[in-house]
Amino acid sequence: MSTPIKLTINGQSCSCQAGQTILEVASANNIYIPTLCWMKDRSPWGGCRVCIVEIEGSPKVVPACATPAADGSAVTTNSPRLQRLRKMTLELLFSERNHVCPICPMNKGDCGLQHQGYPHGVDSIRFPYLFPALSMDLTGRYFGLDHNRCILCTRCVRTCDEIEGVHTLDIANRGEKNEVVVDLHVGLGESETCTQCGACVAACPTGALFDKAQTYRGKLHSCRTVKTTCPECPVGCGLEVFTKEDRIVEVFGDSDSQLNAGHLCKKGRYETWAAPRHRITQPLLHGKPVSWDEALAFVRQARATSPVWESVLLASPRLTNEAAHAIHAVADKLDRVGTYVVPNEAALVDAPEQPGDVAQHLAEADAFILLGVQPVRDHGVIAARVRTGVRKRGAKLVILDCRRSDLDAYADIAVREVSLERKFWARVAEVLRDAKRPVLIYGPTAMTPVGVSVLDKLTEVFRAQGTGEGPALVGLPSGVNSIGMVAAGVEPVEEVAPWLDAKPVQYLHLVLGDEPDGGAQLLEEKHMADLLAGIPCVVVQASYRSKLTDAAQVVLPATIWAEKTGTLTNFTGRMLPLRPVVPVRGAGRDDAAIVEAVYA
Amino acid sequence: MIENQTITINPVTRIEGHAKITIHLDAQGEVDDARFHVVEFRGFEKFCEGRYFAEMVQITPRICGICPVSHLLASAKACDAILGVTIPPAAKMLRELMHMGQTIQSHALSFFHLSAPDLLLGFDSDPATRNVMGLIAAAPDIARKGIRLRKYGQEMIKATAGRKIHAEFPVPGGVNKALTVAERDELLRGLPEAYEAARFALDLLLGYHEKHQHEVESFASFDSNYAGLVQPDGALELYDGNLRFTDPHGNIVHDQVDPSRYLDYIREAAEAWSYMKFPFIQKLGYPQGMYRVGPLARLNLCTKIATPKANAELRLWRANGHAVRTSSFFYHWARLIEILYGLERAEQLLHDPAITSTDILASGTPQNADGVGVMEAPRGTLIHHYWVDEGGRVEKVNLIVATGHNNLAMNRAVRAVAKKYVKSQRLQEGMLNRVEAAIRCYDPCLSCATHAVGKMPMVVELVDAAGAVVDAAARDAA
Amino acid sequence: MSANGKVSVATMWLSGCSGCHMSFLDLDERLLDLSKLVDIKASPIVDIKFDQMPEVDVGIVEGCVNNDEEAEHLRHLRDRCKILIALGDCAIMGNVPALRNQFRLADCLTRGYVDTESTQIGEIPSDPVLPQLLARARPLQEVVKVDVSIPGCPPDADTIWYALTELLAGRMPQWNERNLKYD
Repeated sequence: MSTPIKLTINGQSCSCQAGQTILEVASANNIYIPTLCWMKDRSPWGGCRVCIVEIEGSPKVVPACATPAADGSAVTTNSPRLQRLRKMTLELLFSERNHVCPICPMNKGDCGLQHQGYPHGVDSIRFPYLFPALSMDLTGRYFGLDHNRCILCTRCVRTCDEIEGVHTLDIANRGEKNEVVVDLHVGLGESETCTQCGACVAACPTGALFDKAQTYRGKLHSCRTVKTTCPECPVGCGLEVFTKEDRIVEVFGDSDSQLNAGHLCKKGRYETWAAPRHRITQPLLHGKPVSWDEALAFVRQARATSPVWESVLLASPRLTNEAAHAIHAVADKLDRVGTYVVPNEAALVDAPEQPGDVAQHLAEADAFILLGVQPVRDHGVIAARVRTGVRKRGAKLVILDCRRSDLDAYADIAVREVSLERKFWARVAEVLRDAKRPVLIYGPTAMTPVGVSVLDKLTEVFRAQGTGEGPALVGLPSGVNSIGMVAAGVEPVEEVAPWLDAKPVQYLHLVLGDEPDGGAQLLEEKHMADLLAGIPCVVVQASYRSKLTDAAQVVLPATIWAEKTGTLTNFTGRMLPLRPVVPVRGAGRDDAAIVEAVYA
Repeated sequence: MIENQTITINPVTRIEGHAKITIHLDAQGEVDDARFHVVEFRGFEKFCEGRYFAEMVQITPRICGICPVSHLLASAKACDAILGVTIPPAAKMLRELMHMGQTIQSHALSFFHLSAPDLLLGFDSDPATRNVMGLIAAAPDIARKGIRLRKYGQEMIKATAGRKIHAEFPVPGGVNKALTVAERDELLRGLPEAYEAARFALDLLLGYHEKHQHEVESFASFDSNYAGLVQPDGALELYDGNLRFTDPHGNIVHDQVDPSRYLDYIREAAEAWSYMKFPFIQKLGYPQGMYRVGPLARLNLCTKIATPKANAELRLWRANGHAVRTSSFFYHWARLIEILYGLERAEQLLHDPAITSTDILASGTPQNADGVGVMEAPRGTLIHHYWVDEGGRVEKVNLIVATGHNNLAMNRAVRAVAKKYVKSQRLQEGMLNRVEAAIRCYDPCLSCATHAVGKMPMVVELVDAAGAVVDAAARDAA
Repeated sequence: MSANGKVSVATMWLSGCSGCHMSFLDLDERLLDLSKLVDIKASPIVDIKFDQMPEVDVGIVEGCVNNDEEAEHLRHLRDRCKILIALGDCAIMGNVPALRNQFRLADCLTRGYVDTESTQIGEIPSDPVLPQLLARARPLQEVVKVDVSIPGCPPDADTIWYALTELLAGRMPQWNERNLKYD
């Protein structure tokens, strides 16, 4: 426990703990100090000088965000002198680069620099404009970087380093040549380290970093916002979705979500909305738009002519729990119902074993062991937690039986194939020797015989060290809601072709929901294309067009995540709500409702 | 002994832009040539390079604050083409409604604020009061009507787009704001008064035509080709459609030309003495390929107008065997008929229930390496053409603006007026104003025309054959 | 002050889009009120040529300084007015026209008059009748002293009205988060 100290701010007496900054104390006491480069949960930078304050007895002004409160000090946050200095600082910021407000996507209310310029009465700039020749980096898929609008506050750099943990962005050169760089000066689209998580864009106070899909589509401050759950992986991060005129304008992480605390990966941040896809908005019969009645009549007719024992339903693991229950409820009208999952996922989702507060375990872990899991690819926010844990807290990292990823660079041990030799495990034991709060993050491969032996070995290691309970276990399935689907009684199917081919099939209903690829992945499995071609009636229920929907006799348009009400079960077994963000487009219907209508 | 001389008028006022006029006299003191110089250049075709293509919709309207909507919409259409999307029907309706608002306000401004002082107060009246403020003093009721008609157009833009000038509303793929029922109803309520003002202006002008028939018919009257957009059936079109070119007699030369193929038909020449380029019909060459665009051209080349009131006016336009109207003075008349069309078309759009739909935006990423957006700005055909890379970075920009197309014609008009009114080396106020008025007929939007770098105060200089300014004419720029 | 007791005003349009003048006209019926208080002595919307410009109380300038003539006109106005107003973002900070400052002027001209796809007969305008372009577009304050700035692209009619009525009442406009907009 640190020492309590007392000080006054604007004459108001405040108390705090030693080490707290003046800004923290002020904000705890509802005293406003303007800020620009400061950002919650990032290290202080003290670069913009907008938060300057006066301390009695000191001739200097100091940045409140980077100055610890001193016992007995008297702080002033507002005075004619501070106003004058802040205004001058802002004018210098405006004069340095080419801030052409009227054409900026952040104009009209979304810009932090404007927000400071207005109350400080900056109506013109007394300094000569530099008009530097600066470029725009538009090589990235989802976002661009316009150096003209950068104020070098480093919020993006600190976010990239401290939150996503990849440190793709940094500052290069000196003086007026200072600029944000990507890796060793490459384009955003050429970066080998950027994960496209877009946290830098969310952190940027100006229009320097901007989401391409968001530009001019709506001012965020005037958008409707809905908090919902990310539908892209089983982590279940909280989303804050911005809409205008019933259209998604932007998706940020929900800062109130305990799990992701405002952070997202590329999938949640962009693939949820910014990747253009061909939406199906009407039922299709042999490729032609028809009414629901016509489509359903055809499907019912097809079912009537196909014996139950030759009728099959296969569902995506992305569906909601409600859709899963609806499918389970009609299982007796079909020979078999299943949901496709990756190999070994069945065993993983069957017995989810999770420690109490995963977010806290991840935040405090001093050692991570990754086993048969691909967080960088599949669960980006977990990967970010591992990266920052290793890089910022010095946590140990042991990677066993995982594909190559950027995490390998930070690992104490990273092996593709795990040896069971004593020498290897001695090394593992050495690395984990001082681990007090280890976390084991495992995926489906951990359920293989090899995986189980590794788990046994790990248990031995921790038992030998006498660290008590051993590591906190975090199981990460691959399917978005495979846990919920299986819990609802839908059979997990690891190899689709043999499962389908086990008996003759006359009628196949594929419930694909809002699979981004429209279910085209199914065609990648060996023999699947031939198998599907041999089934007389294939009904595809999907949101997006694909080769699969093109080949189907009937296509039933399903709603997407942003239109649904329902729940998803995340990797910790919690049921998380999906809230409707936008109205249903076209004639799309909820998956559960479609299933109920087909088998009514 | 009088050598060849040049008269300079600077600045040309009460037009939307920066220009000067020089009138060159020969040794006999007769008009040898007259040139309309645009003196501003801004460089849009260069400095847009490297920007994100979606920003173009915000950057290019800053070419012109009088018809920013034209640039907004032409730019948005070019960006739609780059995305390769068809915008939702409601988005197209809203864009067209916004454009009708602009047509109304811009034409009202041209007629009431800029030209009416000449018509009502007289070309030879005191220049100190021959302006909109003088009109307010001399004929407040007329001034109020004009002000309110323009305001109605501006309010239509504001209701649709959220702001009167430089709105952030059309975006690549559609628009970002739906029209509420309340906004729609408010606009419908304003229609009767606007119709009345438009009718009033037409009657006023037609009365002037009667009184000054000879001057009106012969005012900078000359043959030219015409170009503009028409609907598939040849009807007047301002937002979309295909290009039609006619000869000086109104015979169709090219019809239903896909606007994205403009480069096959239109080329430009540059001259040392103006910052505004000179577009010409490629097949006819320079300068024989002179053509006119804008209200006069549109009425000359359209087959009909799809709204009843405006179409009735078009019949008058065509009355007495007039296949085309050639006097530059008739630009005013054409403009007022187009105000009527704008009001009728807006009324049609406002009565369509689909206009309040919120399905107004199509998504996409750049699919095409270039995109062309063409539309009929108040002053004529406006062409935006952008080339982009895969990331959406603008690599090249080509712009041909409405006023540019008329450059050759405006020079011809100035020459025609100068020949008629400059009879001696003495510069008389009424004469100078008529030279300006010839330009004003074209309502040149020189901020548009000078997107390239420059501007247009007007100067008339009297220059002798040796190039020396003989009579600086007390109108030279300070 | 004019002989009739009205405040004399001159407005000037330099390198800009004229949107600020249009926004001024958006005063609509308030123009009728304004005409009782001010005499517009020179403006692109009236007919008086620059050399006739008398001394005025208020000079209002839209646009930035792009060529030598504009610089001359601006200095001329500054000499003849008591209060100089920079109207809009171009006048205050260069805004969109100043985007060209990141390029060489020669490159801008070559693109505009020679290289554009539709240009068949290219020539960079150079006749002495045309003003000389400056190497870069400049905000007013780099050329003359500015007394009042009204930001916005354009400032809307209400903002212009506020600033003008304050000045007519003998006060300087006070800008803060309620009335200041850069857009």
